[in-house]
Amino acid sequence: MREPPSPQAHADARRALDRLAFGPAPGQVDKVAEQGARAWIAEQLARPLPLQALSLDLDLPSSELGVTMQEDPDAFREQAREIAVALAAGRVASAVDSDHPLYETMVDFWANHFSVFVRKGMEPIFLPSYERDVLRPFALGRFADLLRATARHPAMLFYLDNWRSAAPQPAESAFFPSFQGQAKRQRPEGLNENYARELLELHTLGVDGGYTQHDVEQVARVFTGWTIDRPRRAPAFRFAPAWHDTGPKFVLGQAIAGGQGVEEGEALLSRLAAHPSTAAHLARKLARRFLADDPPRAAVERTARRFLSSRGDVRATLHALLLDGDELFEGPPGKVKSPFELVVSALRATGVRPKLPRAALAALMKLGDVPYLAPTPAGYPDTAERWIDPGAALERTRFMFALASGRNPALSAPSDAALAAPEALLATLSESTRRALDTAGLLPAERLGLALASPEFQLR
Amino acid sequence: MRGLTRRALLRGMVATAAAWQIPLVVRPARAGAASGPGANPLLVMVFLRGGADGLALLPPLGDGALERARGPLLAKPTLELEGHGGGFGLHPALGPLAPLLKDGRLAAVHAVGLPEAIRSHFEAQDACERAGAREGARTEGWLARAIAAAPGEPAAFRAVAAGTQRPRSLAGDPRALAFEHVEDLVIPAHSPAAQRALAELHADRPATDPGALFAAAGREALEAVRTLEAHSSAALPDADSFPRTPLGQRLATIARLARADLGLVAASADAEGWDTHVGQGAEDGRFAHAAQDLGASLAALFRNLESRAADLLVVAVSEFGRTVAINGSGGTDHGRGGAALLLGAPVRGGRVAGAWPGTSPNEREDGRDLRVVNDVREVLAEAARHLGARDLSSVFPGFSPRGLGLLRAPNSSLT
Repeated sequence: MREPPSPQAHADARRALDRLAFGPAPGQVDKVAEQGARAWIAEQLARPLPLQALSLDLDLPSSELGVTMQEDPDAFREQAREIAVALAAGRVASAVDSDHPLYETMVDFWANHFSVFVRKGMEPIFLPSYERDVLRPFALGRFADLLRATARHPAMLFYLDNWRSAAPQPAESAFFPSFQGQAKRQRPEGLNENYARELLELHTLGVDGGYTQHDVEQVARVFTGWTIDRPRRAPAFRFAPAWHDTGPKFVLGQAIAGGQGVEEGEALLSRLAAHPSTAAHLARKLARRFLADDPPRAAVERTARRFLSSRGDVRATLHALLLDGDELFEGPPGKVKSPFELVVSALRATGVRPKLPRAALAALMKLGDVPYLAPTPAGYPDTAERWIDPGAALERTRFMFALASGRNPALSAPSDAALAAPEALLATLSESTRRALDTAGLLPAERLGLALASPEFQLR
Repeated sequence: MRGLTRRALLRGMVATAAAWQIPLVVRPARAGAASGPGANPLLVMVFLRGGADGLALLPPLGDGALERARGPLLAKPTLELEGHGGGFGLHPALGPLAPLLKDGRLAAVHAVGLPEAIRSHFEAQDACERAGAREGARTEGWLARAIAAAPGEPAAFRAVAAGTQRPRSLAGDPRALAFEHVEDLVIPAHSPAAQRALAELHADRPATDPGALFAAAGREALEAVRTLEAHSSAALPDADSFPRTPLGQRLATIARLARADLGLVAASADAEGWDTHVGQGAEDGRFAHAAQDLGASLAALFRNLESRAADLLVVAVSEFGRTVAINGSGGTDHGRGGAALLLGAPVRGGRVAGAWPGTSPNEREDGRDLRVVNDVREVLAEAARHLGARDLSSVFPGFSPRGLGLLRAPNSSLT
């Protein structure tokens, strides 16, 4: 006879699921406690990607579109809107029901790290492929591969404008041609440093990573000619040699001989991916996501070291962060769930499922956390201070009461188990929350709504 | 203790099922007890996110260096402000603001920005909104500090942000509400028992409880809704004729609250779409699109707040300006000095205040950007003065604003 798991084993399992799996599904804490939280994490880290990572078994519209913006702007916009909704709803659905939740967590992490904003213009038509061919295949792979895939993808090339960046024309011959109206396929007149800056600041080195304005301009020169082939019909990466700046460059203290074409950018991406500042930046960001808003320094340093020694292997890096120390399991749950994490965790806990794809998105819209709608390239914030204010508290509470009521026609009803024992959904139970749940005269649905709206359920 | 009293009041209110039907008269504290024009200052901060191009918003007139650097991006201005040299034009898309300018209620500060050369959106916005306070996740924002330094008592609707998230400038003000529509401010629970339970759920917790932050936010939310409920006998005025853009709708929300006499003192709204790396355009294009939205939305705000005209100051700032020269894609990249606008009856308008560095290549910062010669905190300080903030050194640590002299009369807490 095996001994039942200890209370500590349960607590560890709960913590692992809260931090790495968008919260437990019914019965899952027992199972993970049985297996051991660390063993479960190790198994999640080792597991091969599901096949659907590569084919994306979601009801996604294809990128081959029926109409272009020029042919029919209204139809194009409608199409784009549907793509955006399908993608966001698909992200919620796969996070709710995945048997590889750590992987879904990392898809969410990288989607935010390499954020693309759906409303700028043409991105919607690039996005199904961005999700399918960039974020999902590389989410647990090598950072350098992921970085390279984002750099070459039309979604990123368009969003951060690199597709319209070219070596400045030497002569005054092409002095100020017209840029009115839609950008044509004509040669851009010079540099656009948008991508170069965000590549250094957000994607790799970090804002304190030791680069200068001069580096930004040099990096922009390296990436001249990285553009989009057939952007409106069958978008793909294209290197345009005629747009490329063939002169020598000097980036982060190193000379780059000119004239190497697309190889210059490829080599620079590899160099950035392996840079100690990138390791420190990513380690800190991962530790903030999984441990605390202000994560322990030892954990950050350990993670950065493993990132470098493993040559940016995401699984090995996560292993160092999550399993080579005890920080994950220490202290009370102190991370505030993002609205996305909150909604997904509530659906997982209660068995409620959206009947319409956009049902779960309405709440995320109100809370300002819809996939692909982060208004800046920095993505969504990941600290309590930025997510919690009185308006957010009201909106979170409203969603939970609606979900628990079973009366929202777009959502299925909560499980009997959740209605019968809502306190069982909470990792901890404070005196205030216990008193609230003990209030005389509450209906089961109200008790469930209160449990989900409690401060405890906002935390992981 | 005020907190305890307020909680006790809340408990008393929710203890009675009938409380919902009784139009409670809860008068929120107001800034300054005095009445009369200008006695109840109202500040609306608009943050132009993305780095608004000050040279497109407010081009120096007859500037040959600027014309050579960015010819195709220069729109023909229809409105003019006094200032250095030949003065400055206002981008034609801001046409709806013409009446304000003609009334002398629109002024600007040019070549304004952060003292440090920061060209990252995130970092520059963070620095603007901290305005000199030390860096850190829990650092208060400047607007939260300005409100704390202004006369009046904390109250539910004293400071709001119209939008889904509270801006960095209001961080640290536990009461500052962020919401999109007034209609969102209703209690989600219907039965008396659930309402009692909600108050219990959000009861004060020890600071060591990680749930304390959310519980406090929940308490403030409940109080805000009660305050609004107390008002519901006289329905909130409709805010019509705002553009159906995110900015227009945010300012509509602010206008409704301001007209409802809920004790609103400071409100914040974000305007997006200023990061014009590509297709910036002149009379048409991305910049004109954003400017048109700004002009029409602000004009609607002033139309809807006629009754508060003497109280209202609008200040629009951005995290940085953009390169003097056009880039390779018909746009501009992240630069340094930008432009800030101040609007409203309290403004001594018609002019561009502060120093002016010039746009020729040898006058530029790092050879590319309009030099920052006016600290953005000077602009924020005018806003803080309007609120009646008594101690500006607590609002802007380590910085002593010299004063741009853009407000008609220094707003005194003694009035």
